[in-house]
Amino acid sequence: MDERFPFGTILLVFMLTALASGLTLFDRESTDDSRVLTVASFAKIHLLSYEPLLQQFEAEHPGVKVKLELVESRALTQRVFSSFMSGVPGPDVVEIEITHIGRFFSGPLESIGFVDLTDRLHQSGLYDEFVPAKFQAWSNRGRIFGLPRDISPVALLYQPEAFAESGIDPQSIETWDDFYEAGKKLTRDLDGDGLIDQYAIELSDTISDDFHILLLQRGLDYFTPEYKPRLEEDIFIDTLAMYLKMAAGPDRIGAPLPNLVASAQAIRDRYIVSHLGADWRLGGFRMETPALAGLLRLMPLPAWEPGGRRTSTWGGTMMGICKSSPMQKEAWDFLKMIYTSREALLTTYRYTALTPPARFTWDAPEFDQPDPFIGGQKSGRFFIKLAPDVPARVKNPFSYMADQTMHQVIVRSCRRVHEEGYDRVRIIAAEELHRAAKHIEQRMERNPFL
Amino acid sequence: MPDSIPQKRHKSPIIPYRLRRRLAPYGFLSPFLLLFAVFLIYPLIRSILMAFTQSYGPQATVFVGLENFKFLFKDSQFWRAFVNTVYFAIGAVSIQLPLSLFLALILNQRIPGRNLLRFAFFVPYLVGPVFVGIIFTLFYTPRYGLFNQTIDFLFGFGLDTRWLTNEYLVMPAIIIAATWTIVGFYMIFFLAALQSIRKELLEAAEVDGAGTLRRLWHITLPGIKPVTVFILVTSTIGAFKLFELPYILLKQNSGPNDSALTIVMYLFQTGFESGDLGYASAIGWVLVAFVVAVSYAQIRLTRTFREDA
Repeated sequence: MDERFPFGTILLVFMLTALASGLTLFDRESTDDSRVLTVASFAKIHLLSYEPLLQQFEAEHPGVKVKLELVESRALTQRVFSSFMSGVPGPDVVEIEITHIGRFFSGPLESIGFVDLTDRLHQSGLYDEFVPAKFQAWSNRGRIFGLPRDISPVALLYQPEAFAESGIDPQSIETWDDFYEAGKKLTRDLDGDGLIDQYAIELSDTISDDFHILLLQRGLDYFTPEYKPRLEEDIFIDTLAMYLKMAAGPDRIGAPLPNLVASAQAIRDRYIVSHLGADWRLGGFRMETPALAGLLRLMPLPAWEPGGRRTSTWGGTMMGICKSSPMQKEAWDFLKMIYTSREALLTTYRYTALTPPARFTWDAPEFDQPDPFIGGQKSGRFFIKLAPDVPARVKNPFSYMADQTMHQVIVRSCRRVHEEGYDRVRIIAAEELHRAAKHIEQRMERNPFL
Repeated sequence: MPDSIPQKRHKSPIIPYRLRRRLAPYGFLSPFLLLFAVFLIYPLIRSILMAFTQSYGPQATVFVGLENFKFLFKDSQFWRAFVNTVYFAIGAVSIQLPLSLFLALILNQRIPGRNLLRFAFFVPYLVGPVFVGIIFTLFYTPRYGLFNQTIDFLFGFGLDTRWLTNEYLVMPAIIIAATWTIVGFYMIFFLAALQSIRKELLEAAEVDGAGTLRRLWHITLPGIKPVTVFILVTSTIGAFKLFELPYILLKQNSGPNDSALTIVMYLFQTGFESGDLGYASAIGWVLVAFVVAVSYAQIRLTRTFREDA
């Protein structure tokens, strides 16, 4: 051996192993892989709902195999983002969670890594099946890059016994002002030790998610679709001022839940007696905390003004096609199949309580089933009634930065309300939002492409 | 055996022997060098170049000269991250170093269950910061967490203390979690160093009347100085690279009012959440420069690696 390969047997073995590995990869490239349609999602339930359709799809597309990939949400986002940045092909069809979508809209419209689905949606008639507002988050500069997997309407989950004990009739609450007055009665020191044992509503004083839900309810987001920050608009300031009244200072009626693990215990202890809840949150409670069965009920969100919108939206996921896919036609066929399959959409609903985004499913009898988890209320029908009213969300490359900035606005404003008192609440809101707007604008101004 | 050498020389190898001898080391080194070049040298050079660019999506990149660095020096969020990181580094190192030395001194004595205790202190290091982050999230839960329950049980207050959502408590909470993770690891280094101190020296000092503290000050501490400096430098570097622990503890957020935003977290957010890879590279290189400067200063000030030391 030494004579034929002068650098020693071990090195020869290493080199042969490396060569064999390389050949294996090369061989994989040359096999049937180009006819595999990869569908990647972070939600196991979504993939489970696709499984029954695969046989039919593969029969209609001879030679095409569908591969379902489950990847953790952030990992999936990073993988897809990296593939767009580097030009390396990623999955063919991918689901992206709304928190992460903004960054994919950086750069010129033609460089966005998702296939523009606008024309296909209109030509296929699929567009008309959705609540139009739900396309906004997945759109950029007027073009649609993804299909909504959900609607995520928001209602108020409340504990009827706690309301009754405080003499509050939930039916009498129409606006947030009504709720604030009711909240004063619901927020109580039960054992007389000077510490509050029961808060009216779950509201965070450190992150802006709850505030964002209330802001969206008023039809407002952090940006206009043209990327203009809206933080200093009067309605924005008023909303924050009202939020601060409820969530900050010595007379607050809201408090955050300790964390996910302890939330069930805190709800059972009636530490907090109402919660902003999207359909998926109710599904999560039902699946993960069966001990809460029977404790909660649903009511529409209080409106900002009499007769106003009684819902908002929270979270969301889109399904899109990567431009790098060599099988864009098949990918679109797959999307169409998912979104026109009543069974697939209803399977997701059964597992997650997510209201299906396509209207043609809304007449399904299972939405009228009484839900024992919430005392026999028809939760499916309840959320479907709210669905057409959900507001639009705006996502752009600066959304993540705006989210982070708004978290800090909430922290600073809540602290200032505690220190400076409720009389200055609107001034505090205006000052902190002005500061945040400047921060966001300063960062946007850095961008030489805008 | 000597006969076999001339026999081999009779054959004519494909590559002459001298050339083989010259090339052989490079052959052995080449796999490493190749991987080193592809996965370290190239990314490093690329990141230096990126620090002078600004990108906006996959196809829009423009050379901006020193703009990223100029912006960085007036970026209040970067300085917030910088201050937090320095706070953590000083806080963590000044607690972890003495504590691990203290544990090593105790566990260097002949006490019952010594090996079990050594293992117990070391084991948190094995589980990693992600696991520690998850565990401490539960510990720190207001009202229901072990930490607050214990404090309330012992002192009668603190049940609702919000360790991770109070901007003044969040960094101490991270330091506590980091200390729990790492102190056993440093303890092992100190134990090894303590065991290398010559016993005759300690015995001679004892015979001469030196007490425990004097022996510690004049023999033990000088004897373990190189290890102490090594731990000081590596723990400082580790502290400046803090990322996973707050990232997990705070659920990917930077804490109330950015109170737990570290430089590496800011780098990650800028590069991978906001997609500004050029600015993230600039942050990375400023961090490198700072860590090199601090490490160099520590080595110089402690005068450990001087030949006359």
